[in-house]
Amino acid sequence: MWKRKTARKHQSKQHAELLNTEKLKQQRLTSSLQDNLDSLKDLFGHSPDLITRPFPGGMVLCIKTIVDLKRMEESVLATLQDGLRLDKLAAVELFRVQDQGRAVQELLEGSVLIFQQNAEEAFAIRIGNTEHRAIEEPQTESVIRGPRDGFTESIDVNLALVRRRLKTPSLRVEEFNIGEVSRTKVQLLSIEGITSSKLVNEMRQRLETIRIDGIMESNYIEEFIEDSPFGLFPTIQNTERPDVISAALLEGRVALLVDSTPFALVAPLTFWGALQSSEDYYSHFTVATALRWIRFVFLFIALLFPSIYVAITTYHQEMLPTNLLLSVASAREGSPFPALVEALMMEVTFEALREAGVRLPRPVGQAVSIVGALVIGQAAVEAGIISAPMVIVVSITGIASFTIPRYNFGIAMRLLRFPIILLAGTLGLFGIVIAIMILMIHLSSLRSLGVPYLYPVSPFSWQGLKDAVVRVPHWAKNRRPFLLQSPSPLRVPAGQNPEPPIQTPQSDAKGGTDT
Amino acid sequence: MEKLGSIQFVALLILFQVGSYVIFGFASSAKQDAWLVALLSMVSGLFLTLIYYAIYALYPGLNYVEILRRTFGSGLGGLLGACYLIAFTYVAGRVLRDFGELVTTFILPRTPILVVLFCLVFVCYYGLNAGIEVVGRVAEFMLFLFLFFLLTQTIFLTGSGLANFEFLLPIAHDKKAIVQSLIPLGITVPFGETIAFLMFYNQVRRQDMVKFLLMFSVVGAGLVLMSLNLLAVAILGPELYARNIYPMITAVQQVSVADFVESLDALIVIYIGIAAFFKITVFMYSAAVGASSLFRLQEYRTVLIPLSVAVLLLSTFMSKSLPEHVFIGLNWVPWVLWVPLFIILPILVLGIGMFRTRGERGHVEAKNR
Repeated sequence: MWKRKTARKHQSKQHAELLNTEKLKQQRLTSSLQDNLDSLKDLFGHSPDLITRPFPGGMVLCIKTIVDLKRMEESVLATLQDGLRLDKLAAVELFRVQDQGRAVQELLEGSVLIFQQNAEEAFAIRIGNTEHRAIEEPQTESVIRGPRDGFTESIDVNLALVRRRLKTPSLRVEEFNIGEVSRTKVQLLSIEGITSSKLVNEMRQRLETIRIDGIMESNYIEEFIEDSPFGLFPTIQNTERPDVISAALLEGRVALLVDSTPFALVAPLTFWGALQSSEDYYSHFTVATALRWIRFVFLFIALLFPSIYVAITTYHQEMLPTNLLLSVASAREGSPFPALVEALMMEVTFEALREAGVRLPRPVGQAVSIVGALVIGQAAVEAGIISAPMVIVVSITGIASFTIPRYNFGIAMRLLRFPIILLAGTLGLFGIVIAIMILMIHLSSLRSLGVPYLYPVSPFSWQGLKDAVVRVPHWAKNRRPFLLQSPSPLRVPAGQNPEPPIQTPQSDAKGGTDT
Repeated sequence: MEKLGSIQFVALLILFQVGSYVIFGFASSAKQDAWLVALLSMVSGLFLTLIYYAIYALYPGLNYVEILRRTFGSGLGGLLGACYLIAFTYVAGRVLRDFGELVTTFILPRTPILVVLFCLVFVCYYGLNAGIEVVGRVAEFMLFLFLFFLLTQTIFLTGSGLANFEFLLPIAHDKKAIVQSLIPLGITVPFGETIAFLMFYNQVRRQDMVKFLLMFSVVGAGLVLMSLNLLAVAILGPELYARNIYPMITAVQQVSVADFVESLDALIVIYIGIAAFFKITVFMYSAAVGASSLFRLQEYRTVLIPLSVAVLLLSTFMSKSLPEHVFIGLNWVPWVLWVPLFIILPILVLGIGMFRTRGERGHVEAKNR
């Protein structure tokens, strides 16, 4: 026991040494140009892309793979031809560098370091190449009506997309560098005066405590800052859409942009928020409300339909109308397996099909799903291995699970289906009730950044229902969600509902003909 | 300490009070006048609840065990508190058994009852482990669902043309039966049992609202009970209603709409399951809170596992068969447990408490003079 403990201690010490950049910060640059260059080159292990170029009176150092070579030639090397003159340097971002830690950091950010003979400092000009993927339509959250731009892998572009939507000086951006090796940029976005400072502080605190070597995607951060790390349900929303981020900020929520991934994070997220699509706000409110209701219904189907089928055909046949019972019974007559086994087999196969379709290149993926769904389904029924109603049930369930707009929320529902099917197969409807009760208790105990997951239904909030169970018109959405504790809860002044003018042209015309 | 919101408190109260009824019929021996009994019992329930609140108002911020100790001294008060804990545990076990019998009778005839009991106790344990606030939030959500179920059921029942309201006549025909079913069962069952809530009145966030919330929930639950009674009698007729152990389910079994919606009894079991869950959970919570303040524990969660096991064992071994179970429930339990613990003792506590505070006030006044 004590051995393991000391081993862990040793490990953590090593970890600290490997990742400690504090020591570098204390090593100041010396007056010897060659010493400075050599120590930096040693630090980078004489990497081939770390290049030097002399100029009269000094030396230029940069990592050529991450700087913009054209700008380097035109604006740095050209002006340096007759020595360093700060007033001649055409640079937006010019920094003074005095220690090695900063020098390393600047080099990695894509700066050119300008060293002079006999100077104890260097100058850094940021000319990192800003190459990024073009702004494209987001793949995971497509809409029929609504903006088509999506985030890219570059955090600067992403911030620009948000800034373009919220033209206010109150947009607060706090930058963190998370990951001792990767030093990934993470930006915490909020709006001063709308976002509750408690929320921002909480988020800041959670971000500051993260200790990890590297961040490859925003999920790394998500798993560190969740309220309940073992829950299946997502309590932090991810999105590729700048409009979703902006709308969330306007509601008083906070957003996180993470460099090198197009997926930004939004918190807090509620159960009902997970069932909303951004398009709800871009289509007419009646349509949006109807679509939300359809999603609620299909959420139940996605979660419970196979288990209800198993429970009813195994235990409660009397619940079916006689004719339906007869046709189900005759269809099930030939199949050799009990409904429970059938359901589990088909559901697992369906999940496998979907997984195969996602991983394969798109045209092949489609072929897989066609072969899987049509050919295998048809053949299995004709061969009498699987009963036809089961195929129908599984297909409807599959379609239902596609109606959930948030992918990670849908996965939670898909996975929960399996234990519920097992319970339904052993305890019938009673098992389903038990499963629902446990699920309800779990959902009620979840919180997202302190906000109860089922808000505004429980705890109940009349104002909150306006944007959860229905989607009221934009002129009626008067207040921000109560539990976000926004310092300015009023959002839209009341009494803006449009009406026809009192004297319409039509009535005028009528009056005219009468007289 | 966790705090309960107003709606959560009301939802728990209503589900708790209505829960009894949907398992067994209410005042079935009064036949067609069952709804009248429901109404009278609601009125008496209002009085009882007022007594409980008055006790709490004398000692605001304390739970019932602490109040008992304050009134009777540490020894006797602790003993009486222990009586309540045992009673709550026993009643939780009874409700659990009721539900188990119901499930094995109607939807899972070949499943051992122990499996059913265990599953439900596990859910209750899981809920209480998450905390009373979480249970309150579930109740809040479920109340909407429950009312929706009640509404659809009423629409289906009246829509199927089954209800014959002439069954309700003559009104107040058998006055002796009314009185017999009112005393003691009608007074104690749904409303007297809310003394369990006295263990956590002090956890309601809006202390100024507690009285209103109590009254509101008693009236709400009473009206729901009354209308359900009216409906059940109108469908089954007074004789069948009086003889059936599960009149409400039998009534719902008659539903048949458009050859599609048939035999809703499995659905009924679902919502009885919901009601039973809240009833058992509240009793268990009261017992756990009481035990933790009796034994001066920090956390009520430490007693949850032994309590759950106790409830499970009690419910399994409390009676050998359903008729025995029902007989004990109707004839012994009210006199032995409910009347002394729900009516006599609270009145005593209130009397002593009022006497004391008056004495103290007189004492203070005398001092001032």
